[in-house]
Amino acid sequence: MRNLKTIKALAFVLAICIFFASCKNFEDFNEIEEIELNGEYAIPLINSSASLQDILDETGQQNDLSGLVIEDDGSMKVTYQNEAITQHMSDFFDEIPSFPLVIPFNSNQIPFDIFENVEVKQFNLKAGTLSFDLESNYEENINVLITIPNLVKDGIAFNVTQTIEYNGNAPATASIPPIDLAGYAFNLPNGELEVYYQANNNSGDNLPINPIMGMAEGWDYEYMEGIWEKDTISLANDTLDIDIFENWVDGNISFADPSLSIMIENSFGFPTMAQIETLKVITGSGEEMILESSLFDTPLYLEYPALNEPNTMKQTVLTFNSTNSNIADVLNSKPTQVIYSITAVINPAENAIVNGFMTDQSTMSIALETELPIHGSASGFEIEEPLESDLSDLDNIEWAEFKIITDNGLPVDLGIQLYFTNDEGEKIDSLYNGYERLTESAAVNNTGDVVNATQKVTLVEVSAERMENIKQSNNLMVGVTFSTVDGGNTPVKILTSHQLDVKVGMKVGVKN
Amino acid sequence: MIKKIIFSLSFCLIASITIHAQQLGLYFLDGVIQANHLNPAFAPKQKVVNSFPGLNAGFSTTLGAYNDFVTVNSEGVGVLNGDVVMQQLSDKNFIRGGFNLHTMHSVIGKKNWRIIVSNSIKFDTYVNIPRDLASLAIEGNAAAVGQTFNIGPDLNINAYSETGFGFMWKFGEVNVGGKIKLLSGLANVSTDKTAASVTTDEEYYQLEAMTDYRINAAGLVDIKNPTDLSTFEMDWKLDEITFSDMFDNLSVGLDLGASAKFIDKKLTVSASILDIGKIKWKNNPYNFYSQGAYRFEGIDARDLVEEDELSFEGTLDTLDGIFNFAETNSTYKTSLPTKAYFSTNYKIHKFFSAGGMLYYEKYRGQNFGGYALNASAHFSQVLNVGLTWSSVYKTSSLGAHFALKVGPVQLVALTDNIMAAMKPYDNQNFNAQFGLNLAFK
Repeated sequence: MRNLKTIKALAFVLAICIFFASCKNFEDFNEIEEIELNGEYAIPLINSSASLQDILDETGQQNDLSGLVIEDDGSMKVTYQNEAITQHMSDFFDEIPSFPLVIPFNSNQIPFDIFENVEVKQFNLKAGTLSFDLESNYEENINVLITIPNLVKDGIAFNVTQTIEYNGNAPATASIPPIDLAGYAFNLPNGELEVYYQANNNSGDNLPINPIMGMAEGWDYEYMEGIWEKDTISLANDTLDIDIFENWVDGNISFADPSLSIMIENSFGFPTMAQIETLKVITGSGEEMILESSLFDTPLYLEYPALNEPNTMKQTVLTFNSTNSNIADVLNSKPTQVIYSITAVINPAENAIVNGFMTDQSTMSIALETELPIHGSASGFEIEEPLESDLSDLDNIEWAEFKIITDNGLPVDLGIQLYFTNDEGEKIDSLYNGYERLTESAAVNNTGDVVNATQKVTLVEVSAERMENIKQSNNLMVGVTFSTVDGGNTPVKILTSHQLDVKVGMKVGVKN
Repeated sequence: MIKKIIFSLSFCLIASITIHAQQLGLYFLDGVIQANHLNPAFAPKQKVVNSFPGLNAGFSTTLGAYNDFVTVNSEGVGVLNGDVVMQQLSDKNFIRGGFNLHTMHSVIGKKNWRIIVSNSIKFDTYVNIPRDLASLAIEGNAAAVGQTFNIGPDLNINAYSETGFGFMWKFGEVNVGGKIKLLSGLANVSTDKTAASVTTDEEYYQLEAMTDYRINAAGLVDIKNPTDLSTFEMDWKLDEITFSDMFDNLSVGLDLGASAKFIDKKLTVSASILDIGKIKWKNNPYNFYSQGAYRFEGIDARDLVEEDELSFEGTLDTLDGIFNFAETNSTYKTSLPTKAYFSTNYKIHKFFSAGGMLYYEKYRGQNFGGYALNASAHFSQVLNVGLTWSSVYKTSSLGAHFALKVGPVQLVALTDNIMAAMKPYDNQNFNAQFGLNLAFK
């Protein structure tokens, strides 16, 4: 019996011990905080299919002043055009200052010489006033009428009356306050202003009075007709930037028929001749090239509106192409800037008979445009462009392999290189050695037109060693090189309908 | 993202490790009230027996022991080794576990009959992880281009209350018992369609997903981000349980059992079928359904570059949405894990007996089997100790039981894996049960 009690007691203690020991053992739990992984994953990265038209539709490039221009047949050209430099009437002629108008006699012929280089024949005011101060030595009231017959508004010549009242002190004075001349027009066939006055006492006697002192203020005009003297003025000093070659690194590109045009629009109604003082380009390598042309041998007279065409713009276009200049050499030299300077010679023939005109809306504007048709050839043409990217996600990637499948409907071979750069923009490494040609040019016929797309499959391996270098970089530099078919020896046409399909798959080795 | 997926899988693993499996050793403790859970025909000899609240818990996994693939590095951090995990995996990898909190259990009766009343809160987890899913996440698909990964995991995590009313008849040497159980679903996350595959195309590794996969959830659990595996989260709210929750999602289950003695009562043959029934989940149901085919072929190169900046986030976003789950709120049913036991036990000597049993379970379309061999020593009705060799889910282990009765007080403890009691994370299966009973004549 005592043994049984002992067994019971021991068993009970043993059970309690086992229970607590088991609970304690459950506490020894190693929670998973890290994962040792050594996997290799394959995913599709890119599946793009786009024609050049699709890309243009998205970027809206064709709507810009500079950009790609698509012709009706789908062919394209790169155009660069700067903002037109516009000279207004006020840029050529100063404002009319206030000036006195003295009327000494009853009848006066006063030269209208407010403009130095213009013999004015007609002058339409849109603003300005005329005021007069009168003085009489007579000891009675004097009524004065001032008339300017060739200053007319609505068919009525300018006239104004005023009484000089005698108040017991001589001389008696009176003033005619500023009269608004807006809408009045001067007709000056002889270039002279006719001004009359008539002074009468109350008995009707015509009496001479002291010279009338007039003052013209704030005159502004909307139309002026006359004969301009020969004069030279500066029209434009400007630079046209061409960024297509901004990131050029190496290689050659040749455009089949490039051109450069100077477009001048003119609404001044007098003969003008443009003189091109400077026209040169700065190339990608920093050199200067002067444009030479047979067009410089003949004067460039600008189109201008006739007297019955006020506020009409006339355009003069001077186009330099391969037949009249060395523009092909100039534009194929990978220019980054076109620098030009142009002056205008007014009335270069010094014609003293034929009237010219200008209005308050008259302008002369100059713009430069280059056209680089996407029809030509390229050989190893290489550009680079920085691209921001967060490469921190690459931490666990040991190696990578890209499978790139291209169906190329463009008549160019395209190579891509990714450079990995540090904070200073210095290249640390590249994705692979040299340039990998990712697309093979579409087949073309003997006129440079695409016949068939070409498929190319490329495997690009990024080794573990290279991946280590990549992880040290902060940004990317994308390098693109392209050559037209046949190593750039055959000119090709690139159309908006040309399509490029790109499929990229990636295998990566992940370890952590 | 891959890391997050693996962490998600790991979560399932860890969650399951806190939970249960089968207790084959308990079947040899006829006469102890806890055995009545496994066979309603098993009734204590005493006419009034009440069990204090007790717990049995355990887990079993075919993945291997937790510490086989989780090691501690020199910095004291737990590290899951992907290579080791893959070495351990079979085509199908089961994680079972759970715990039963027995809140009350009474058996009262006369000479030839007993009434059984019980209540348990049960938390049961079943996860079936296809090897392909782990392989895709850990090893990747690069070495299997052109092949198909079947990746749909099967999942059933159940929390429910089970209130049983049973009766046991004794006809001579034959006992027959049955228990009707009122089941109240508390929370559930489960799948009822599990077809999901990913194929990597050889051309440039396009991914083709085919799915007919549905995740259901109901009761005191919310599913967060079901469409994004990397942020998928189950928010259990069992701590917010209220009395009314005990009467939600009501269903009925059934346990049946019998035992008979032969050869001068030396040979006992027993059989039982447990957990016949289903729970209908009607409260707060969610269904996340992905059906159809989806092919991911990469993104447009023009979308990779925005304002001179290169980003692959779009690619990852698109991959996240590859399964395109649609949400509905329909009721659904889950089956209980129906189990069958068949055992024989022979009393070799006044103090010794030996027996064997077979175990079979059909659950979620899978067949699980096991067996156990037992030897026990009896010292009157005071002490019963024994050892059990069992094999379930292809894992074998040595267990032990212990029942001590001092007056009306009875202490019961058992495990199917002694070694796991010492080192639970070095073993593939473990269960333990502790009980304190009051037994009166």
